[in-house]
Amino acid sequence: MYTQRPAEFDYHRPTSLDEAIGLLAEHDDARALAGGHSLLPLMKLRFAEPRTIVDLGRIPGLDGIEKDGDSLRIGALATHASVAASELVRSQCRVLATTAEGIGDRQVRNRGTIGGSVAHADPGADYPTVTKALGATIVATGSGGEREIAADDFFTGVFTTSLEPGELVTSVRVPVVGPGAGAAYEKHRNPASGYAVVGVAAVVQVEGGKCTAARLVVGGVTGTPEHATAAAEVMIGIAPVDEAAIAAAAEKVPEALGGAVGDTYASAEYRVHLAQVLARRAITAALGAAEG
Amino acid sequence: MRLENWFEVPAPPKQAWELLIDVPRVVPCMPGATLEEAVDETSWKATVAVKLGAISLSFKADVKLEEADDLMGRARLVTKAREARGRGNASATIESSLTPAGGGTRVDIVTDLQLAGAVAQYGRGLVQDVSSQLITQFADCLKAQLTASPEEAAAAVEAQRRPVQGLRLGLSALRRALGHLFRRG
Repeated sequence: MYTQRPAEFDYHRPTSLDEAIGLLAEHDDARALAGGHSLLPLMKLRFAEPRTIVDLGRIPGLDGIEKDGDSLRIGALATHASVAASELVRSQCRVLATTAEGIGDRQVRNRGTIGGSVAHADPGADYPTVTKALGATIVATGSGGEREIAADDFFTGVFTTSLEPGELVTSVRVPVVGPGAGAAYEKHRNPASGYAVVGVAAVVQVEGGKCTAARLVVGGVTGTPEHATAAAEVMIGIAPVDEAAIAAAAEKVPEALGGAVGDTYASAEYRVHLAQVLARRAITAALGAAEG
Repeated sequence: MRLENWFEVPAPPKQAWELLIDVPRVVPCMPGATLEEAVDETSWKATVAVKLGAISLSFKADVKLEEADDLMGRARLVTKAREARGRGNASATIESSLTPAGGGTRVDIVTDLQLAGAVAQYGRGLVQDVSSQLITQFADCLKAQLTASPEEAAAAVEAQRRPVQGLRLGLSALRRALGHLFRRG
């Protein structure tokens, strides 16, 4: 499948964000290139034939990870490997580091970036599911300046986002997982690609031995990650060790998966089943982390 | 893959029938589709552009009206399409049937879609998600042609003209167009 060469394209390597945005505005068929581990395979398969590539790799200052109040601001060009290794991420939002650790293979983790992953919005990608569950904000920059988009509004469908033409993802702002809160992501990996056949992220708050707030997001089953709201409602009030209550919450997950899609690897029914199993694990782990 | 849609319109079967067999009016209801050429009285050539984020595909399609039985109210459109850069093939048989319902007509649209080649392999089954949304929008647009005022019907077609790009956005645009109509009615 990968023996083909991409079609001809013009290559630009701007050294500033303004220059990159200018190039994207100038060429309406341009695609931004970050780590290239999603875009280049698509180009080699000729599923994508952009005439202009704007390589973001030489723009300084887009790969930093810093604390900003109650959030972590992660530069769009931060690689999965650097997110996984960041002491700041590991201590303030561990679930994001462990998610990054589980993406693709070593080469993908060393090249692929958080900005590229969210902008590409692959239905099997891990960051969309996790950022949505954490209530993250995607920061996009275009000729009109900077704009903040809640992850809930950012992912709109299969490979599609609410990014406007000419806009770039410049950072992702992720709330820290504070005291009494816990988060976990559980996925079933496709053995070949590492993509999530199904991935479930749970984020909870525990006070006085009871769950007081919960968010549960399922990726890989439908075109874009979905909130399992009925399941999250059932999670409120349960005790972290109550296995029966956790299972009862997980049983509500299929209600959010009406548009389940199957393929040669896993049928829609199997994916819905996996979502329940993984939801049970993710809820258990998140509640445990909140207590711990 | 078999996709079933149906809707009811206040128009009598005869009026619905005239639309169903009017292929040059039916084709633009498909999101991203453009009618290119009338080959003969029952054959046409069309292109269908699909754009999803970085992915862009362009299908060249031969459309044939294979059956048009006005007594039974049944029409069958057969479409064979190949991706312009050899990314695979798609073939669809779209069977429409009309049945009187109350004072109006019930329109049933059954689509049998087959994909082959790279397009069938890529996207981990999401082709199915995209296809079913395409067919739903197609049916919604046909419904608008039968129920809306001329300018609203034109707006529904216009909404389908651009390449498929962010299907949910496209759907919401169409719902807005249809919403106008319901508020008025």
